[in-house]
Amino acid sequence: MARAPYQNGLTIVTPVRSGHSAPLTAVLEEINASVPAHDDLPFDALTRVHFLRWVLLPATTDDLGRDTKTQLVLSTNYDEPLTAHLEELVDVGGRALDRIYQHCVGYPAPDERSRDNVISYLQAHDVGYDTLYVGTRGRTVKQIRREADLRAAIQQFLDEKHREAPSFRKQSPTAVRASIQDFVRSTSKLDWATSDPPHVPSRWPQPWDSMLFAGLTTVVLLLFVATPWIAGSGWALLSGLGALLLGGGAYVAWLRRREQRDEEFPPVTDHEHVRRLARKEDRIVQNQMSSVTTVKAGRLRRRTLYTVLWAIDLFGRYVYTEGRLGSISSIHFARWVVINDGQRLVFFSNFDGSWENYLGDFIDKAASGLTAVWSNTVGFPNTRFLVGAGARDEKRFKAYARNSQVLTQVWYSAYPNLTVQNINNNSAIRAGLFGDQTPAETRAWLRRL
Amino acid sequence: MASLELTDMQGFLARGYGGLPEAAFLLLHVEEAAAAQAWLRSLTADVTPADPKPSQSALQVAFTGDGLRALGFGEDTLQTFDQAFWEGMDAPYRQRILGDDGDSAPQHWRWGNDANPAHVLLMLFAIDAETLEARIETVRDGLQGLAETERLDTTSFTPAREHFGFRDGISQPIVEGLSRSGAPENTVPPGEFFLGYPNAYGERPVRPSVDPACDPDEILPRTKTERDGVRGDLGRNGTYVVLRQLSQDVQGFWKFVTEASEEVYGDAEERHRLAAKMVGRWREGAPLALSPDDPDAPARDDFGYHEEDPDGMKCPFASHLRRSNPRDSLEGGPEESTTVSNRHRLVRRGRPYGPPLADDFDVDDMLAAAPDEAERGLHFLCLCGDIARQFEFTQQTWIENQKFSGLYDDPDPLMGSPQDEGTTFTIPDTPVRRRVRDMQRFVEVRGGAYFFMPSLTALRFLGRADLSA
Repeated sequence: MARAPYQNGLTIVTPVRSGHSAPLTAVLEEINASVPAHDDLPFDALTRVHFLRWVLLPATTDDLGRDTKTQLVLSTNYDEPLTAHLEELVDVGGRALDRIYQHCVGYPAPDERSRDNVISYLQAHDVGYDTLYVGTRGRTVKQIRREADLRAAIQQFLDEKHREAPSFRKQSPTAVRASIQDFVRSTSKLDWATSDPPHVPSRWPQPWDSMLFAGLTTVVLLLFVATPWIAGSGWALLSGLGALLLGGGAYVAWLRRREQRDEEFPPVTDHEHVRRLARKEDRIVQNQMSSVTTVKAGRLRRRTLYTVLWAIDLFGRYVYTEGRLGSISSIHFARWVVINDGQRLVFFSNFDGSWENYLGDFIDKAASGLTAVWSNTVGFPNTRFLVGAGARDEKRFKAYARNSQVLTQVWYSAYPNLTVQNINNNSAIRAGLFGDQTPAETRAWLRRL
Repeated sequence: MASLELTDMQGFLARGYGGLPEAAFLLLHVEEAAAAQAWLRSLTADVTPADPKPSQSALQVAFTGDGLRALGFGEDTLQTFDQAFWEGMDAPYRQRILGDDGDSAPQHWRWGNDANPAHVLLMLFAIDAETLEARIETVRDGLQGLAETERLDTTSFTPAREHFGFRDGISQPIVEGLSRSGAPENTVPPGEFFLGYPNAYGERPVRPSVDPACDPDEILPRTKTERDGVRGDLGRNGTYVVLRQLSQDVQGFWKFVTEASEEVYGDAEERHRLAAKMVGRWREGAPLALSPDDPDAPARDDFGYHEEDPDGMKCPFASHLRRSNPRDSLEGGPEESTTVSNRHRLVRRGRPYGPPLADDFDVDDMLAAAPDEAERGLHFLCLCGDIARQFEFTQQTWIENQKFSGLYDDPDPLMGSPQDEGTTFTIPDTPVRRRVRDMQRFVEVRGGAYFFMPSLTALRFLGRADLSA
């Protein structure tokens, strides 16, 4: 069985040339008005892109007086490999890229522009991500679209069958499944579904994870091997433990002191800003959120943030692999990226349903994790020991979320009518279409229709 | 928990006045602010509090954002209210949240839009028609500075029923602190409906307030706010009231159900089953989750779906009942689901209007009735402490969401606004689902607005305040 391609996230951050924000905004707005079929960027011809967005990050000055100019972020969720994604982006949307990036610092001038140096330009500005969550693990764009077609065709078939021969309802579940199988076999455009479903990877290892696991294993082995020796020198063990406790205690004391001193924002929003955001929302089944926040000053805060993001990324890859983040089943892709030398934290997500529902889920179901991340940024509701309180302060957290949201200038979804639950159910329909099943499994499979 | 200040609340917060079957709602337009304030001063003594409970009649009053503007409120003060309230139900992007498109778009409304804005809502309830008319006459005689723009009449049926013929008003949340008590999974903290009390998050969120300079006599209690310091507490013991005039196409509904039951059950006589599947209860109120085959079972409300009906075989996921309160059937397990559901509850206080199509609500009689000019429907009314988190959330994420509970193309079969071709109603069944195609819209919006129903103290303030201060 072939290894399924993984979905991944690309984040390209480029500085905007001074004085070019306005014309750049105009280009982006024009493109966004014609999603998914702009002449310069026919989005639907991108076979490897799940979601894509361009977001302008406003200029800012941090508390150390360091200026960051306006930046443009391109964020995509794509099917690996990256080179194929970049090549397709340039081949399909080259004209749009030229029109957009001519307003950014360092983009090749027209007379020296080539496919290769445009790709190099993009690659040179790829900042990766710190945390990526994928709700539709291991499914390519093509698979997601085809499986939706398959499900629709089966539903259509059942409706017709029901109309033509109502007695078909008297058949056993196994017989009903068999007639669906016959229908799929005899339909040439569903030919692909008769072969094995592609493997859905249950985890998504990264090279540094192997190093982590190797490291952990080594420590455990060493402890095991060294136990007799440690037992023989209780003094060494005690001092090791003591150092650990002292270090941990000092960290907690530092954190708690900071938590008590950090300023939180009042639960107040800029109403006009909220209205601008809301006007763009609820156009299709999914919505998007782009947010940018300022990381609190100090090296320990930054370290805490990186550590939390790393841990959540790990959880996303190894624990929450079935389309649910905890019990939240509405997130297609979400990512956190620390940019500008640790000064700012960017959050991008593509989710199903309303903003109000998304934020409600955050508070009701994921408050601890989100608090651990965002409490390291300025203005977040007060927290207790990193994960306590924080996002649970409903009004204040919602206001914080709205205030840190920025307009997404261009947004594209490859399947604007599918939820994560739909996509995962479609895959399960396809996976259970052929092959052996017990009667109970067949009954459960039919309930997916 | 702090006890509720019932003598300061308007009675509508505590009860729907089931014992006062006659009711009419007057919509008023402020013509002259000072005169309107004088009228308000004289009205306040007649406004019915939540305690004691009236036996003959009741009068309640509420204001829209436009109404408070017309009385002299500045935007700074208005913006201490919910954004949904001061923007209004007819704000453009709100139509996508509420499903108010096509004939239901605000520009076609009879009231609540720019053409006919509502400022003040007067609700009158009485034990009989004479008492009601007498009270309306008294109110009209005293009116000054305001013009009556609409009179919304209501009809009462015993037992409570809506025009398609279904029993209504069976399920309501229990509010902590009021006299009714019940199962903990159906009980919510008072702040969900009454401003100034702890809500489902254990918070007392910021509520409407005014600059103390507007209130030199200190009519309003003082409250400390984070942004603006000490303020006059205008919200305490008040609530938000959502009113929507929903017209129902009764013949259209039963025609559709009759034809569809022929198609999906092969038998037009199964229309009561299909209609029950759409609603989630049989006509007399028995919930399908408990009584999938017995239309005459009791109209209970003490049930969940997680144990009784995890696959929707009894009560479809797409049914109106599941979407308007999913109880324990959302993702994350029954306990978490109940907690989440209870953060989006509404106290419903609606009343039907218009004559019944047939007095006995018999389906054959309703289908055979000669088409009449009369409009019939529901004056949907509900209370909430947070319009966006409760009413709008329910409307957008549960009722109007075709993807609710993992579905694909299923609008609410009863109240929804199917937007495009190809919508469906999925009925889980063995060996495989039944499915109704091309759902229709049976309910159209004819008017609507968000109101603030102040406490009696706040009403006294509104009558006296120099709002321009």
